[in-house]
Amino acid sequence: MDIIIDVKNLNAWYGEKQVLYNVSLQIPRYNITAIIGPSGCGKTTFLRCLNRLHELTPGNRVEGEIYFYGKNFKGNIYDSKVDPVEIRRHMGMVFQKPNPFPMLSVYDNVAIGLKINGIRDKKKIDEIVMDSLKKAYLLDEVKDALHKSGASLSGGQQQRLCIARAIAYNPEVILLDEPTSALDPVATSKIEQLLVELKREYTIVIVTHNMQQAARIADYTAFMYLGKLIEFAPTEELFETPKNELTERYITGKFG
Amino acid sequence: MRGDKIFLYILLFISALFVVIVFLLGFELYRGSSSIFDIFGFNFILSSTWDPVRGVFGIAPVILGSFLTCFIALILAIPVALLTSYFISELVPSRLKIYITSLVELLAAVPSVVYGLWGILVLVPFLRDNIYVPLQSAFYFLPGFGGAITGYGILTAGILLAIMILPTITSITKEAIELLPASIKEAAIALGAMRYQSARIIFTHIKLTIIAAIMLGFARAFGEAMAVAMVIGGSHLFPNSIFATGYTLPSLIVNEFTEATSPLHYSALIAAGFVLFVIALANIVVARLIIYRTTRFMRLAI
Repeated sequence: MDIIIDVKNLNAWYGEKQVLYNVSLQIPRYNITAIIGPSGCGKTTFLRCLNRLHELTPGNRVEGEIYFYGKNFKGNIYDSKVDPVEIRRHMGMVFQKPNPFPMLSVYDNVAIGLKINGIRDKKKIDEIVMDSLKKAYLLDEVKDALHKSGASLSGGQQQRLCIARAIAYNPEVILLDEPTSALDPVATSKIEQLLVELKREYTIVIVTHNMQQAARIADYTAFMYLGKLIEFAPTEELFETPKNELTERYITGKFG
Repeated sequence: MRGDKIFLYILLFISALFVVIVFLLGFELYRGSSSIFDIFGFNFILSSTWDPVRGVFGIAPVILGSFLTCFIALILAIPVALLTSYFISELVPSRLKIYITSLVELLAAVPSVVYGLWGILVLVPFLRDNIYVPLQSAFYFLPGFGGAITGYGILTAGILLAIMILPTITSITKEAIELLPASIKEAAIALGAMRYQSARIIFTHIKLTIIAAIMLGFARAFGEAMAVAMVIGGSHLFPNSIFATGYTLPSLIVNEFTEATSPLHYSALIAAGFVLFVIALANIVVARLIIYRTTRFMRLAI
């Protein structure tokens, strides 16, 4: 198995409260890895540790190691010499609630990530923006609205715009935090199709509280409970022959 | 019900009172200055002769002085205010935030006559000896760098006003940064934005509030009388150098009102007040329009 992210003994605190306990997990390249579990199990915190977003809130703390084996970066992202900004540039993130920049146009929402990452050439930006919108299956719907506010789109379109923004600057990993929980079933299914397409070029880690979603699209699934990783296996295996009793009870709907 | 009706009437009465007061104020100012406008018409605004002895009044240099001092104040205050507000809202640990915020608000609470005194005792000599004199000896050959240096003048008044409007712009901008949804700030950080890049994105999202804050700062600077009167030097001539003395509309009124020699002189000062009133009103209307547009945009964002 080709591993891109190797999490070793990750512990995380939210102020005084510990929310992750010794999580160790290996995320395979060019696959979709889903993280499921009941609310408050630490799955979102885990995701936010992967691009060093968790530590931004004052009082939050992270211990442990996360090795990232990217094209231009190899090593522990929590090494004291590592600049978190650089790590974030290797990863794109999509949040639970669609959050396009409301004061920027649809076009600029995608272009801003490129500008932040040092691409200045207008022609190149133009090319990448169109390409990213196309990859996010959004171009046909917004090609006449490129200069309208990013907030003027529908919820599902906004979320695909956020995906376009996250893939535009060519990160290797895309982190998604319950990206469809605020969307209707049609918009959800569009995004699921899109993610399956995208895994050819990107490694995808998706947090979801929707088990069916994990079963539909993920190659690997991790089940977390009360801040601990309970089980991690290929999706089919986890859903059909769970090894842990807790996992079995969760996926059969006995708690959650 | 009856109680609610009475409540409504009270509210209506109080709100109407404000409209009436503003209207009466404008009317009184106009009435008091009508003799000036009857005699001079628009020449009162366009002419530069102010001669109480001959009874000729024109305030063009004073209006220019008002806009110049405000312009200098804004140029100096805006960048400092924006950086300070970003620093306070994003970088200062929350324990210290309240102290630094109170310090900024304290600056706003200092009475303007105290600013004026500080201007006379500290700012004027400091600027004269350490800035203006070296500046003149370096650039004496350029136009606009000649003339006598007293330390008093339009530039000094502008610098003092910059300090006075700093807290206004800072606290409104700080508020706007803190009200911006965290999701927007996180979106920028997750894209790999460095601090200055996410600051730029944040400012883009609150730019309308920033404009409104600037308008309010402008209003404060434009209406400031005492502090400006104490440091501007007092002159009815068009400024001929950056060190020149001058007048603003409020400082003119403050300085000459008690020694107005004739009814016409008196009227001329009220007329200056009327011009000030109209410009201030226009400024508030524009600021309101901008704030209205801002809130509309923010509703879109949330």
